Amino acid sequence: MDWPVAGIFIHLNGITALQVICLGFVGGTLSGFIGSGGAFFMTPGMMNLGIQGVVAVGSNITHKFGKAMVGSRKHGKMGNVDRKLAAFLLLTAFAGIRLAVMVTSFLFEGGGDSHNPTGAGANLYISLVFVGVLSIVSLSMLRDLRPGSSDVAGPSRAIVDFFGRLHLPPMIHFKVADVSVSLWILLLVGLATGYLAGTIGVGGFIGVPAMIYIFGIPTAVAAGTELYLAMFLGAFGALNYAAEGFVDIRLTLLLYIGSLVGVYLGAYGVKVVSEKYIRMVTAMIILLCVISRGIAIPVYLRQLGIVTFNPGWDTYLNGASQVLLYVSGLGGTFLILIQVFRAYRQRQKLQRTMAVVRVASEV
Amino acid sequence: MAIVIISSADETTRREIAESLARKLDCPVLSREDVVERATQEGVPVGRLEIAVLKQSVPKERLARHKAQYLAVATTAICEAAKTHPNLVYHGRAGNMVLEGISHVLRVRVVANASRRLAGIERRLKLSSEKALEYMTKLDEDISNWVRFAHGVEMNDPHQYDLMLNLDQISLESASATACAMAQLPDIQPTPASRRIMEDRCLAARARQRLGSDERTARADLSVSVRDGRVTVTYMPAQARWAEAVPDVLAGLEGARELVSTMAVSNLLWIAETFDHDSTAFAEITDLARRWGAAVELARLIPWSPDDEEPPPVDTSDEAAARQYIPKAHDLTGGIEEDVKEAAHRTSDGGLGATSEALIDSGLFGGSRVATGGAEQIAGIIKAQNTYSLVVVGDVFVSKGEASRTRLTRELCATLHDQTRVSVLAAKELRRSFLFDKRQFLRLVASLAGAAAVYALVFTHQRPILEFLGGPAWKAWRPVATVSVLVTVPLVAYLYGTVSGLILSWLRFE
Repeated sequence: MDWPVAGIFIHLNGITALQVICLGFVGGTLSGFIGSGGAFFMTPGMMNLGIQGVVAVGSNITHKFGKAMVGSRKHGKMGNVDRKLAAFLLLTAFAGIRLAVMVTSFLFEGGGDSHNPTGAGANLYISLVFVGVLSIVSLSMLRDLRPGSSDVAGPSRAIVDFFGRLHLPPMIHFKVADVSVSLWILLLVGLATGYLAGTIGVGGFIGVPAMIYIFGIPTAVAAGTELYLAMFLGAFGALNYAAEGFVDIRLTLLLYIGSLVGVYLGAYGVKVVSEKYIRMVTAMIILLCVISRGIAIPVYLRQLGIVTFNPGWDTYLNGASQVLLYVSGLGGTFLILIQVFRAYRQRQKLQRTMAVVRVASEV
Repeated sequence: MAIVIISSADETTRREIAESLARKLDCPVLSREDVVERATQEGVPVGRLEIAVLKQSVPKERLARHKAQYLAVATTAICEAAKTHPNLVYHGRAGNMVLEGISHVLRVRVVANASRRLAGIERRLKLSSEKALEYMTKLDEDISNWVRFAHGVEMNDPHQYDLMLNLDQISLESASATACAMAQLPDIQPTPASRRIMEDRCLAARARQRLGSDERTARADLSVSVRDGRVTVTYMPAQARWAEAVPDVLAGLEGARELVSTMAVSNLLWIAETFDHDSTAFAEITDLARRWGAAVELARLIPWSPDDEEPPPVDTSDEAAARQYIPKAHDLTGGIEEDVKEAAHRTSDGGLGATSEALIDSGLFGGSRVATGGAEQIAGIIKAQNTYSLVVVGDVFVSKGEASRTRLTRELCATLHDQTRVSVLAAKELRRSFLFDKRQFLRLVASLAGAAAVYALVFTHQRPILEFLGGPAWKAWRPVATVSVLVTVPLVAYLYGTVSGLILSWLRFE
């Protein structure tokens, strides 16, 4: 068999397949726990295996569709999905994504010249937005977690209270999330998160903190609702990439083997660990991703001629960026799994006693 | 008849306001100092206890016994004084906690005028302003620590009071006039139900006092609870040799119509908004309690938060505790309808009374209480008792939708566990049936077969499939290729998701 098939689909041996499964597991665990799609980890991870970038993105987004469907079903059973809220956000998110695609396409076409690779302008723009927005998100979350805050203190409600005082009717009440939000805030946030998601390709990292800090929604509901949203956005993405012939179904199926176990463990983790811990892990992962992206910015600046340094350094900078990305994904998964198994063992111990009770009473 | 409890860190202020109020109500005054003197005469080393609490220099076990004795003396003293006169004024540091849960007790917190208080300290102790301030700050801290130790609450928590009076702006006379007016409100008058609770509380205190002062049971860790004259004494297995003497020690206790002795390894705390002694949860919890040798304590949680738009619910049960209720307006009936109200009380206590009776009959009753608020209030109860081996959260947030209720219950369990380090489970997890039955097994096999078939098809026909999805064939069959991806992918996700979900459920990752 000649590889790559159709010029883009590579040969997958056993080791490569296993690595794809592991990537799926990490992405799934992060999905179930913090509501992030895990794309920030899986896409570059697959590209590292020699898979074409566009195929990695297309296969991942297709996988996201099915995974988000399963994960949101699980979260739904736990009462974490507010479908009404998701519907409101979805409408404007699509518009935001469309706008973002137009802007980045424009920058992509106009960002290169004979000296610099095409797309450096778009790369720089995307990286700056990524670093700027997610720095604010992660530092705000970390500030909430500083020592001295009460055990039961939730995330900062400064923004929630500010908008609450404005009281811009009409106010829409969301039963599951148990909050009331102004329609205008809702539409604006949906548009902004869609635009940001379309610009930097991340959904959960924007949508989940936005729901927590702007709407005042509990973290578990934010994670569950974001997954539900991701299902529709994933379907839209899968439709587009499949239509362009960029979906490698083998990668999608291999990702499922890991991710559909990880997403259950992540959702279980949300149930057994405190809200504070969930926010801590989310903030940490986001911060490491921000630093990872920040390290790559000088490369784009050099490519655009804004700064000058030895092009040989590109390898080291990109490498460091890659390493940090893996550290964030693997580190976050590790922290989640520790808590998951610790809670699991405690419950098993308790359950064994109760199992004896059940047998005795049956006799 | 109303009992007015005045709490304040400043002895001078509370004494003055209590005496002023007592003159207005024409009733006697009882003070913490009177209680301390009586407790000391009965052998409770209150002074040493206070120092030991502050310095943490005495084993917790002994501290707990002395504390229980002290509280028993305080309760008995107040009950006896209340019997002699229609009204009573008591003043102390946290007297409101001594008669918690009794509706004809008005709980007043007085915040003394700081500058006046400082001047008093300077004059009495001949200290400079700076030293007096230092002394006052340290004194307040010590008093807070004592209140926390004795009652497990924060002294300045406004939820514990019906009335807070800040003497910075208003005079002492005005403050006592306000308290006097409030003490005469119909809401604060005794009902048959509240009298019953008071009698039970007094009986429990007298029983505790007897057990603590008799050398046969003085060194035993016994918890005493009373309901409708039925006295339940719960003891740990290690105390069994002393517990044998309990019936003799309590023989002839005035007001007691029955005595039940129960041995407990620890307590299970069952938290719910509504209780049902015919439910599966009751059966499972009592089964577990028998197995563990534990008593079951009931805590009725009435969820309420200061952010709620609605005022806190009025709990008409005879076990109502926290008093931040805004009373509903009702007609003054001169007490004619009281008997009818008692019957109504019994049906509106969320099943607490009936479940308590059922536990008493089973010999597993460890006490009951009501808390209004949320996780913080319940965590305070757990921390104060420090004897629970398991906390079970039953039906709470019943006014919310199913999804919200599931999530809020789960969050309550997680918060309680975080704050108290005690195992906390939802009642559903107790009564959940075994997860893997025949139907589940068939579902697993079918899903696994379906998923395996798709995986086998894709990986044994890689080339044609990839060409169809992105190669030459794709151009001719683009819409079909797109649709096939959109159909296959969720189908595989569903099948494989079912497999992984069932396997993890079987392994109890639920």
